[in-house]
Amino acid sequence: MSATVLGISTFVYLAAFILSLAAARSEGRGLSRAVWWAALAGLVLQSVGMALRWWESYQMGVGHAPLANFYESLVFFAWAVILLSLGAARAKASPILPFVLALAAGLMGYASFAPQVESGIKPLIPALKSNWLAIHVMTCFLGYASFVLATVVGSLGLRALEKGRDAAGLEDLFARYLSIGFIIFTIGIMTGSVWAFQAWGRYWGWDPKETWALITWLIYAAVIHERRRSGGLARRAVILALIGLASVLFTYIGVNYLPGLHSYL
Amino acid sequence: MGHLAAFWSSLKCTVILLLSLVLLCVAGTIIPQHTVTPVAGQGLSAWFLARLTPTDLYHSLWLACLAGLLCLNLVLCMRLRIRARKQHIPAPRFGDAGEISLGTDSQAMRARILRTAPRTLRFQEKQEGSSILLFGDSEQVRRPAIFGLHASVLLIFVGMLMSAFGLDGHIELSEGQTAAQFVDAGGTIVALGFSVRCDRFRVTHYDNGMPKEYVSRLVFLENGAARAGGELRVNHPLVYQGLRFYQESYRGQLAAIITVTDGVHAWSVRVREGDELAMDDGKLRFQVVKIGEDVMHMGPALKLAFDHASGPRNLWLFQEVDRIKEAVPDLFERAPSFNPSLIEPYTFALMELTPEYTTGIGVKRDPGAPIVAVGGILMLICLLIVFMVPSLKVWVRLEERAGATTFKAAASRSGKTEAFPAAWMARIRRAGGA
Ligand code: HEM
Repeated sequence: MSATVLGISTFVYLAAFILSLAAARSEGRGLSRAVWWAALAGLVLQSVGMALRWWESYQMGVGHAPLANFYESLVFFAWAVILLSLGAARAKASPILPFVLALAAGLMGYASFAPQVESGIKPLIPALKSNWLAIHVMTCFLGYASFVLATVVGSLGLRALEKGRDAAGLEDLFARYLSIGFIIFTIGIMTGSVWAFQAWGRYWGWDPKETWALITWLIYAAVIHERRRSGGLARRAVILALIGLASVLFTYIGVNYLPGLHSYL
Repeated sequence: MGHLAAFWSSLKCTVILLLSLVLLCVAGTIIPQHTVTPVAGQGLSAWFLARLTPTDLYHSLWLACLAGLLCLNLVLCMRLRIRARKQHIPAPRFGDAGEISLGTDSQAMRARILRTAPRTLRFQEKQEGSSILLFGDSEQVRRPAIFGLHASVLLIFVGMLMSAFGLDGHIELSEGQTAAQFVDAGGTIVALGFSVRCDRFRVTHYDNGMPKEYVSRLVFLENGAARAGGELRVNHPLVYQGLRFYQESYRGQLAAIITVTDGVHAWSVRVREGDELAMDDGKLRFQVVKIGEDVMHMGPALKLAFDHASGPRNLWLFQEVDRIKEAVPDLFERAPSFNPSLIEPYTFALMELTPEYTTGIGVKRDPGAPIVAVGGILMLICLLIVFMVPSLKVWVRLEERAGATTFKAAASRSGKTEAFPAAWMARIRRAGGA
């Protein structure tokens, strides 16, 4: 059941993405408003799907929040990207919608159709049975999503500036996504530390996933300072943000190819 | 000299240092790392060498230097910020802002503005001839938070440094066993100062065979008397006498209960694989080489090795030796090592096999953790303030002319000139209407 609902939401995102391409070419605001509503519909459907999956896990007797394996993290990532973009997109930055919708549809599609992504609901091994699991995974992925959005608006804003167009809205969003991302990701690292202290007796162990989270955090700290230094949407800050994005990707997926404790997510 | 100081207190330096830390961390995840413990007594150069190898970057001088430089950068920045604190009211940028005339005296107007102002603004004021200049600034709120944020980075560094002087040990306990010492990370045996006993260990599994939970029931004893205890499970450590105990691992192994008789006496012992035993006042010595649940498809058995006068001998002790002998009547002739009475004058019997668990318990003490925790909380609070409080400056000039007060305002947000906040303006007007 949950799989069906999540599947439908994937297609809603895909449809909204196609619509957004059309909206980008049209003059009126009607179409871009339709895109926003379609994205919201996808988000609501996806939320229902995630809630159903949670409920189903209790039916199976392994009850846990749907945040415990690669499949579930991909789905949550897509959800977070859409959630964080909708608030901002309505008012100021519909140019980001095609990007985030493509990303969300891609993540969801990959989660469902890639053969190497195991989509079943699995019970938790003892190390994962903790109240910190949900809050840690949610904050990390909301942080990742925010960094992705910061990088997208930063790049779009920089391009607009270079073409001599007004980019005040995007510039403002760049700062905002950076701050939201930095706060939430800081909480993500801290909850991870508290959990590691509970589970293993150390709050920091230089495990590759931990280290890469720190790398991402340091890069975005550098972005924040560079933005301060050069006053807004400077080329250097945006390039650093792009490097940060690569680091987010590596922290999320690349690290799994290095040996370590976090190999389940 | 001034040049150098300027660099070390610059944001450019911050960005460079942060990115250098990034490079070091990247190297640390690519080059395989293993903790190098410099051996005492090998001299300073050996210590330096160990602290410079790229295979232990997280304990290296490289990392320490970068962290130290970042701290220097931070402290210099923070010092400049404190110095820059005492400020004059910056020149107002009224630009083409229109004047608004409001029908009250300037003092009442001033009170109204301050009353309706956003709570994050701190005000200074100056009398300029017949007019009053009000300057509101949220930096007065943000700056201490920015200071606290960077102080929290220092605090976390200090805490992490102190954590290096903590304790990281391990104890292996079988059910019923008591330990008064543990093995630390360097392999040294350290006394606990009390003892800990594992009464019971339990593993449960999901239907698909994945482990669901493992739990050790621990008792802490002093001078043999139980003082405290509890269930130790993954994610739920126990604390006793400032030490934290963690459920880390477990091993399952088979134990066997065997009996030995020489026709006059009888002994019963519980043995595990690898045990070396001496019985009958040392006349009988043997080692348990192997314990199996189904050896040679003939059921539970032990392999015992004896140091016999005529050379080493092995005995395969099957629990169901009688049944096997029924099926193969000349068993002992064909395979003498199956004979439970092989070693005269003793006769052995395997009574039962029982699974027995050894639980692996982590023993830790981390003096830096509370400091890191305080630093983390401080960092979060300050981050929230810095990012949630917009960097807003406002200037308002009030001038009383012919019974009416004219109001002229300007604002800047993050250093960029902006219109005076409309919501606030509305509040000012509304307050006047009352
Ligand atoms: C890991 C370490 C650091 C973190 C997480 C950090 C974080 C931050 C954050 C979040 C801001 C606010 C930026 C904004 O309002 O847009 C900031 C500002 C600043 N940071 Fe850092 N920082 C770090 C290290 C440093 C260091 C080493 C320096 C040393 C010079 C420094 C100097 C500054 C300065 C001067 C500002 C601007 C303050 C202002 O706007 O008045 N930071 N930092």
